[in-house]
This record gives sequence, C-alpha cells and structure tokens, in this order.
Amino acid sequence: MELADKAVGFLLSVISLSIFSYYTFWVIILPFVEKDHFVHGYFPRQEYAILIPVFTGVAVLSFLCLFVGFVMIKSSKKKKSV
Amino acid sequence: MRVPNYLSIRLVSDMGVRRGDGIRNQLPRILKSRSAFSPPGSGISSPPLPVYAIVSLGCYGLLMVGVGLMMFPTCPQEAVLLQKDIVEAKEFLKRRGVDVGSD
Repeated sequence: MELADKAVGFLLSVISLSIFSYYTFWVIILPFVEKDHFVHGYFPRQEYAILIPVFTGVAVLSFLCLFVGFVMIKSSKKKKSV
Repeated sequence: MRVPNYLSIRLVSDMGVRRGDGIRNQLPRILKSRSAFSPPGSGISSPPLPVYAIVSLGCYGLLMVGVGLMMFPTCPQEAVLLQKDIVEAKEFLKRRGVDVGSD
C-alpha cells in the first residue's frame, strides 16, 4: 500500500513541477526571445497564458460552490424527511 | 480627437504614437506592432505577473502535497503491534460481555 502512496505522490510532484516550469518559460522567458526563434512554435499565443489559468480557476471555484450547495440541499432534505 | 495631456505623454513614449499625425490613422499600425506582454525595457508594465503568482502558489501547494505523500512514515513494526493490541482488546471485551461489533 505504501508503494501506491509513493507513486501517487511522485506523480503529483512531477505534474506540478512540469506545469510550473512550462508556465514560467511561457510567461517570463518567452517575451525576451526574438520573434522568429523556433521555440515560439511550441507555445500557444501569449494571451492564453492569462486566459487558461483564469478559466481553470473560475471552473474550479464554481464546481466547489455547486458541490457545497448540493451537499447542503441534500442534508437539509434528509433532516426534513426525518 | 482630443487626447488629455497626461495620456498623450504615455501614448507617445510607450505606444509609439507619432505627434502631428492623427491617432485614428495610426491605430492599425499600433495594434499590430504591440505584443501582448512586452519586456520591461519598453516601458509597458507586465500584465501576467499576478496570475503567475497565483499559478506558482498552486503549483507549490501541489508539490508539497506530493512530497509529503512520498515521505510519509509508515512504521511497519508499530502496525503489527497495533493489530495485536486490537485483537487482544477485542477478546478481552468479548469475554466481559461487551459487544465489539465489526468482525
């Protein structure tokens, strides 16, 4: 069982490190690279560097609020029926 | 089109607007040339830094969770002793007549 935990932990850290390095390169290093360098092809347009985190954050927050509201409604209905 | 004085200084120095020529004819050239984030040397403030801070904070939290999961101490000897203690306690209580439940 501890091996499964270690594997999940390792996967999480790898994902977070890769996201961090890709995003850092995209936002901080890329504006200083000249326009016709080949590496620009590996990154989407610069506007998406703001849009994608904002939309992800909005989606996560709304999902959390929906989930909390759903649980509250279910618990209040159960209390009323009992 | 009359631009207020404080704005006209910024427009000339940062956005490359040329005085004397109307702003309306210069708009296509300006909008095409300006990239979304410009390096700090050009005088335009960088828009993505707050979003970058939030994203890096989220990444840091995820990294700490992953590292904590990897370094979690499991203590296998104590686990075995604990199981033995549980069995002993269940027998003891069953002998005394207390209902122990999950078996």
